[in-house]
Amino acid sequence: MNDYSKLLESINPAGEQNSTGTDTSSGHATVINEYAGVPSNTETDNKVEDKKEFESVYMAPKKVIVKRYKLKKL
Amino acid sequence: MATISIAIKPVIEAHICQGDVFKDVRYNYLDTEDNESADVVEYIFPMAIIISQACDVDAISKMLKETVGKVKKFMPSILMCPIYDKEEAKGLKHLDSAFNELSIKKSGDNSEQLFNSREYNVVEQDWHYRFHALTVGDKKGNIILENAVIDFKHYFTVPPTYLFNNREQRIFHIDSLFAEQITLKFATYLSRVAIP
Repeated sequence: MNDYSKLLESINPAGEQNSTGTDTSSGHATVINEYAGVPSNTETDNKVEDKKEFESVYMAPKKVIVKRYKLKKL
Repeated sequence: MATISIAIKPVIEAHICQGDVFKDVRYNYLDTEDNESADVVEYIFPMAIIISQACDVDAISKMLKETVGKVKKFMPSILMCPIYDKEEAKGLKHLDSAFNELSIKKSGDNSEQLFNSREYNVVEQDWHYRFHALTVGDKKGNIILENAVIDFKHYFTVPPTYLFNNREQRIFHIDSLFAEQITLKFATYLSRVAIP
């Protein structure tokens, strides 16, 4: 039986930043304001940092990136 | 005017949940293999939302955190849908990389659109079977995301361990009322009967 866990070792680590190719000058920019987190009483076991603002501006993503990796079997 | 979904900012340690929106979500699969090598195809969805039911996601999230749980609560994968820029999806440019990598030739003319203005009006009224216009704001009415659509057709699954181990990639959580609305619309999409 093949050990697929070894096959996937070559895949880029999950923490790698992905360039979405977002073009902030495209005219499709979303209107973003800083958001102060507000606790929701519908949540359980989830804590919200009061007055925590979103650290980044949220742009709707432009494209899906698809990559193909050829992995050598060990 | 599309529904404005209310979002909150969870702390990193919070359980994953229905309505969580992650960035740079990686979905990969073994495409082909032989005795010497294997081809793995990986999609990177810049933004995606958890569609699986809240109780299911909460149970597996707790199981992963506590490293103990009931067998009947186990779930091998979590369902997600991608979130796209409205204009990019409309112009059918958002999947160019997929077509290139999978060696699929696009048919149709370049003027084809995913939805026209009239159809998008239906989307914004929350009546479209395939798309959900996503506008996100806080409880004060400040908009934090707009001009975005969820495409129910492009659903995919990821292991819960992946999302649990990458909670720093979670950018916000959509409040349960609005997350349930999205999941219900997805269920309606899957159960539709298409008459040719």
